[in-house]
Amino acid sequence: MKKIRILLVLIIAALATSSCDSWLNLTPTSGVARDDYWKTKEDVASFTTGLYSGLVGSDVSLKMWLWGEMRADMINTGTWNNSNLTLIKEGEITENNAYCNWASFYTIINDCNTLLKYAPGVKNNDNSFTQTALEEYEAQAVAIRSLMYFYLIRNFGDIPYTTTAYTDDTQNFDIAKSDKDSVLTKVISDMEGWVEKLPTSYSTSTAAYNKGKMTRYAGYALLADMYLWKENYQKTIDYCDKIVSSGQYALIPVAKGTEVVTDEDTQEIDTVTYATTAGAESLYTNLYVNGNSTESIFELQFASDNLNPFYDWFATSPHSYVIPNSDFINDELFPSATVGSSISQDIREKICSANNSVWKYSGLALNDKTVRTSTQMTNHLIVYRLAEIYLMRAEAENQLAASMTGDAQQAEIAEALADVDVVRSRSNAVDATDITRSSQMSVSMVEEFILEEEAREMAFEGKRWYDVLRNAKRNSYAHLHYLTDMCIYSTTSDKVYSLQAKYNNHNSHYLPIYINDMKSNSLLVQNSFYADESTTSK
Amino acid sequence: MKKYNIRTKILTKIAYIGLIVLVFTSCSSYLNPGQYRDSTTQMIDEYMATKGSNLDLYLSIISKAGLQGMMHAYGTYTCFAPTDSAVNTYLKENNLSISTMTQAQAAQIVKFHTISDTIPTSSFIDGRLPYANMLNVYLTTQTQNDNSILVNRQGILGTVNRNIQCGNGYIHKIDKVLTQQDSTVYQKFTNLGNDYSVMKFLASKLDAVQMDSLIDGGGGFRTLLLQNDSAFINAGFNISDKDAFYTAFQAELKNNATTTTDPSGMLYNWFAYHILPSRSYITDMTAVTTLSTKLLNQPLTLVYRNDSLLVNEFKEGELNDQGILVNRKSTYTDYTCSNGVIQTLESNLEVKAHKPYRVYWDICAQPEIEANSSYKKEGTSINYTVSSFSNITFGGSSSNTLTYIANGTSAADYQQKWQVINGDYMSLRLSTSYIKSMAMKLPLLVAGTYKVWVCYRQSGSSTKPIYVKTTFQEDNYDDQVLPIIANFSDEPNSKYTDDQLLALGWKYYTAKNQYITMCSKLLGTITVYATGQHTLLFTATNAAATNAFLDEIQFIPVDEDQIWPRQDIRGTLVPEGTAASNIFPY
Repeated sequence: MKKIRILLVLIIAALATSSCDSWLNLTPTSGVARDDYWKTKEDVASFTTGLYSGLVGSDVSLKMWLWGEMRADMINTGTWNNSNLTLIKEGEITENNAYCNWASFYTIINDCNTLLKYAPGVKNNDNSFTQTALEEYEAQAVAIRSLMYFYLIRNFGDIPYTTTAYTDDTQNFDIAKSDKDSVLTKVISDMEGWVEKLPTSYSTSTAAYNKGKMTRYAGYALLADMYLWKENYQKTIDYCDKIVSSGQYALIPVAKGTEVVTDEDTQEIDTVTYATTAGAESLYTNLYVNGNSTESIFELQFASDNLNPFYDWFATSPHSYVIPNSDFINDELFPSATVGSSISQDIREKICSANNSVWKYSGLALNDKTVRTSTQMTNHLIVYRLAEIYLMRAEAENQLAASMTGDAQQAEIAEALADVDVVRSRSNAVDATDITRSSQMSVSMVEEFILEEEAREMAFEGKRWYDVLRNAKRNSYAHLHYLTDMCIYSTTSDKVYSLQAKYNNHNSHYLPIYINDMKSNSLLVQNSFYADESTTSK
Repeated sequence: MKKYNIRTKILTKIAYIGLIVLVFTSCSSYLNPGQYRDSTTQMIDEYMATKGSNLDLYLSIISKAGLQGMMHAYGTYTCFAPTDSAVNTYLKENNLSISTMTQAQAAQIVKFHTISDTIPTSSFIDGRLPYANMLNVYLTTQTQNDNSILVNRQGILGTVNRNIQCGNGYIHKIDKVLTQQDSTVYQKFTNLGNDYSVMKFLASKLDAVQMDSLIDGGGGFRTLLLQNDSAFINAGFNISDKDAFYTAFQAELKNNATTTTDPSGMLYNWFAYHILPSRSYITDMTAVTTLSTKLLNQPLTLVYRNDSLLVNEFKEGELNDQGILVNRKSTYTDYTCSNGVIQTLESNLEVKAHKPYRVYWDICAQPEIEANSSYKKEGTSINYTVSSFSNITFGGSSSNTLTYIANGTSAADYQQKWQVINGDYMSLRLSTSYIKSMAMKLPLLVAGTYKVWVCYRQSGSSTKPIYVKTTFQEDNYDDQVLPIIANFSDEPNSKYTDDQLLALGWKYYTAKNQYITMCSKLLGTITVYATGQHTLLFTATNAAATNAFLDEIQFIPVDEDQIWPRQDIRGTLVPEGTAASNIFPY
């Protein structure tokens, strides 16, 4: 009896302790632990998809648009009160402003760094994972990371730069800022090292793959933009050339007609070109409603199960956060044509702003007044398209001409104007907005002309602030007046003078670092415009 | 029995004890300390008293002034608080000390630094603050290049240590004690530097006592509009030779003289025209369209456009007076003195006698309509609620609507029976049962006598016509009710010639050709006493059922041709005798 009892106790003890083992070994039930991930090439593929879905997250995609427009002159606040936006528009930006929060961008950067750290190891586990395939994924991670850094540099100036993945608590998360020029140089060299590894196309049948993922041409577009910011014009031209000559992209054509009109003032008979209604409507529908058109190079893909964040911003106009600044648009950008004005107009006027709403994002058709409902916000955010490439190349060619003289200079300027004309003629731009052509064009007048054309073509696409700042800071702020002149339209009338005074300090052109980051990262130093060094209490 | 008594006693004792215990237990839940908490937000004086706030000396000035209670109580204050080093510098410079200061002196200091409303720095503009301090003086602020703010031209408010939020307001720490400007406007004027030599030279031509009483006389506040030497150069004067300049200046004054041609009288009037009997900072000037001056019946007109503030811009009709820019960045912009403000102009301001000129006013030229991108575009028809108009006040329900209709102004859009000016008109039901009245703010009218014509497109039927009574209203003067009741359903008889129609109080106002539906009715004659923007009131007098189609209202000086010039559909004036082939559409 006793023996049996002892045996029974021992058996039970053995059983009990063995089961305790598994009780204390917990794995997460709703996710995959890293030890179990990074095993097959499908893991890498789905992680890369995760990078793209991070890009279409509501905070990142909103800021990719908002940061490029909120301090510029094309939008005004609507009647729906957004106090953070109002303060930014007035020039009263503080570190407490939620729109200065870069956290979502660094999340994506960290995800990219994570892929770059762990993906090479997958090759050891999965023999079907080729080196080319691995490099494709790595190149996409580098490209997305470079895109994120480029937005951060343009908006914050000096930023923390890291290529280390932060995967557990033992690492020190605090990084200090690095100088913006050195960060830009590093990001450009990262990108140049990997851009040729990006595939030129992901699918021969589905356009969405080639426009929603970073193809090699999207990489070229990003490089051209970065080199233009860095003021290296020959490189910008080279990369733009590669995109234009690739044969993959074309401007969406707009059918035109001609009509003979009698000029009302001078009684002269003139042949006037106008864009047909059908042509304008097809441009609007293909480029902005359907998306993934032949002109687009990289777009953020939204769909009915992942709507874009723009409903509150545009579609509820005038009770929306933002309405178009009709003073600037009607007076400066799109004055009426002089001859035949009733038929010949620049079609971009109605495309960008109609019914007191930013029409590119709120409408379903060009001439229909129906506004998108909250479930219809599936239109994509265009990050790069061919028209912008032409204008970037024109800007670079014109700046290159500044270092030339005589006939060579005029020839280079003529090339720049030819690129601008391609964009203008597609949209039936009117003579009133054209620059007077002569044999002695001046670089600075053409620079202004190209900046205006960029405003017309890329209206409300999240580019205006960057265009103005890039032109203003060129050659050590030789043309700060682009920024101070913009104040007249970009802010309320009683704040114009104080904003112009602030812009004289170049640090004010960048946003402050958000207060949460200032508090949690002890190595971060706030942008000196927003912090008084002598009385900072930290 | 005994048992019973003892039991009762014990029971009652237990009952009493039980009652007492209950009382205490139930009371204690009310006083549970976890549910009450004292606010930890500091009041302004508590913040100043904390260690390291650097405001101890200012706090002792506050208690010397007897105002610490005010800074401790609930309220809404904005305090510009000078730091300890600022107070020390001030005391040293003025040979004062806190202990020897009187209560009145201390109170004067504190009240100058305190405003009875909460103003965070995001509400600052470059100019005066929205509210005056407790001594009824406006402090001015100006953003500096490094994002710090210069307050009252004296103290700097840094980027940190501003908007310190306390329970009863904001504290902004500044690095100097702010002091009131002691000089009056006249005293400051006499102490101006060489940049203002011309204006001082002109002042020397008048008696000093006269100038003093002109500028400083009278109670209340005043604003002096200065012109520096370059302003006179801008106006075309040569100032190198003072005497030659004076002759040229007097000739100029004589040219525009209205009341007197006596040289010192004209000069006195010129100075009086530069003094406003009000305290007008830039913020105040951008908010109004006219300001009266110390020269009787001669107001200034102001236009604020695209951050340029212009005085006396006259660009109506044939006149093209550019207007004088108010300098917003000079030393003497928003310059506070003890009894007023000094501003600076960039050119020569003088009274110009304007002859009354005709005004053809398109009713649809309302800012709300012009802001619409389809303004004047063919095929436009937009409904507006009557409450959306800032320059027209409507009687009747505020949810009533009117429609703006545009036919376009191209040759193809021209229709003889609908040739409205600028191709647009306003369609609204003026009726005692709908829109009962409309009070319209008129464009600038120069003082004089005018005939008022209403131009409309005939509408409705003669059975229920649209009758409207017209009143002209000018501030400080009696209303002028015009004798003719307009009937927007009426049209002239086609057999009459222009002159016959004129005798009957009708005319055609369209230039291309004339059709009875496009007609204009004389409402009466008005006297405009002072140049400015006044009001015209239409009152419906019967229950019309259809809409009136209003195009234009014309104000034509009584001594001018009432019919010509007419207008084509683009609004261009067409003089009498123009060949038909030269009138749009050609």
